[in-house]
Amino acid sequence: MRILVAQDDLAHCRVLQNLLAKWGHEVEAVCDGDQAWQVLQRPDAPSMVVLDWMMPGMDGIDVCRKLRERKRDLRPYVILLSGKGQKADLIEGISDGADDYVTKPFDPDELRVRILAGERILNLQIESLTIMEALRKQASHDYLTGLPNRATIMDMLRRDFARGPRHGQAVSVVMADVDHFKDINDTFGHQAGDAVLTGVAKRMAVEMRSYEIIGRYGGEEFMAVLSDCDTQGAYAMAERLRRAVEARPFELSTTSVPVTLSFGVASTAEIRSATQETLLQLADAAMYRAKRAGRNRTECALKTTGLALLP
Amino acid sequence: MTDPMPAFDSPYDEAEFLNRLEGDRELSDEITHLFLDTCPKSLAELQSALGEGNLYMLGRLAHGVKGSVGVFAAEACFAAALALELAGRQGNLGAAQEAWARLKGEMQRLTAALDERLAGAARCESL
Repeated sequence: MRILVAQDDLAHCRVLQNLLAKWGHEVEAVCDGDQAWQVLQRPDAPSMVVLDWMMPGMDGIDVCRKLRERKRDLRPYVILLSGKGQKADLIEGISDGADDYVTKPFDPDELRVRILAGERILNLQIESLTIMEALRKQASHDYLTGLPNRATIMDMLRRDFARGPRHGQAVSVVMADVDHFKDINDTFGHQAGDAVLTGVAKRMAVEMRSYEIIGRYGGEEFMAVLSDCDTQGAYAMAERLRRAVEARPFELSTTSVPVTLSFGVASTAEIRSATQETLLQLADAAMYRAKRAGRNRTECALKTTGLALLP
Repeated sequence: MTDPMPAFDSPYDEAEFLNRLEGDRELSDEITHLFLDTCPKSLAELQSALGEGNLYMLGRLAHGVKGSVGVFAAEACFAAALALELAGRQGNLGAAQEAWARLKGEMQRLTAALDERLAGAARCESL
């Protein structure tokens, strides 16, 4: 494990460096609280710190308090190693944010097992954070394609609607539907259908910029939310996605399947009074128009009878 | 193998010192050198803080010295440094002067013993 030693007393600092290295840890050492705080702010900060209480600049307790104030999932485990040996000191040290307290001069065996206990707690923390992250992903992403699910893209759309108009930014929606998907399922089986959906999702996801989002809306339907993007921009993006999928057939285990999608685009750039629901309906209507017009194409809402949906 | 016996009047406990370093003699020599090198400066700072009547600083400095001598299991020295630290924290000048006199004496004994320790180690190496 990587451990930061912050001790202003050179002898103790050296002893700690030596012992911790001997116990198999990777040690970084500093001699005051300010330097310790700097190291602990780094993204690659050590996960444990053996911290002296009384140091020049920020003292150990200041560092503990600042660490507790920080909004981060995983804080370093702090062992306060101090010459202050009163019960009141221990209570103050742990109350103010240290995870453990060892008095100087310390017994190496005791310090070693306390580090071990700290390591166990850190591992548990990492494990629960990993599980939480997996659950978060499971709740927000589609299990088959790995794309954001409907709830997530709808959230994104809500957020863009809350923010976009205030800053004069247009919000655009692109709806996409795999052409003749039922035929793919019926001809090649549902596994092949799943493989096609996964492949389509992958091809479209790589075309998106980091600030744009595409998700699985349901069945063989996908939806993209484009922030600060007008109709022309949204149309260009839809065409890019369409071409990316059309470019080459999908190679399944026994056969090669050409796949296309039909796209519908709607944007608040031109339909300023549109609500989220209206925008979705308009994009959906445009997408069905693309279907009727022969599939594998993109249609924009303004050309559709969908305009009648507007209040 | 038996632990090295501390001399009857030794100002520090060699066995405990080594125990605190997991028996690492090389490290013990390094720490001893480090301590002896920094000791005069620490004492000068203490003297200066006391001379200026800066008891807060005196307490902090004494705390640091207490930590350093603690590594050597130098009990009398540790106790004198603790007394000086407490006197400094409490702002008790009389107690601070008394503790300072004690600490100076104990530090002299400790540094002399540690000098002798290093000389002994050097003699052993040269054999």
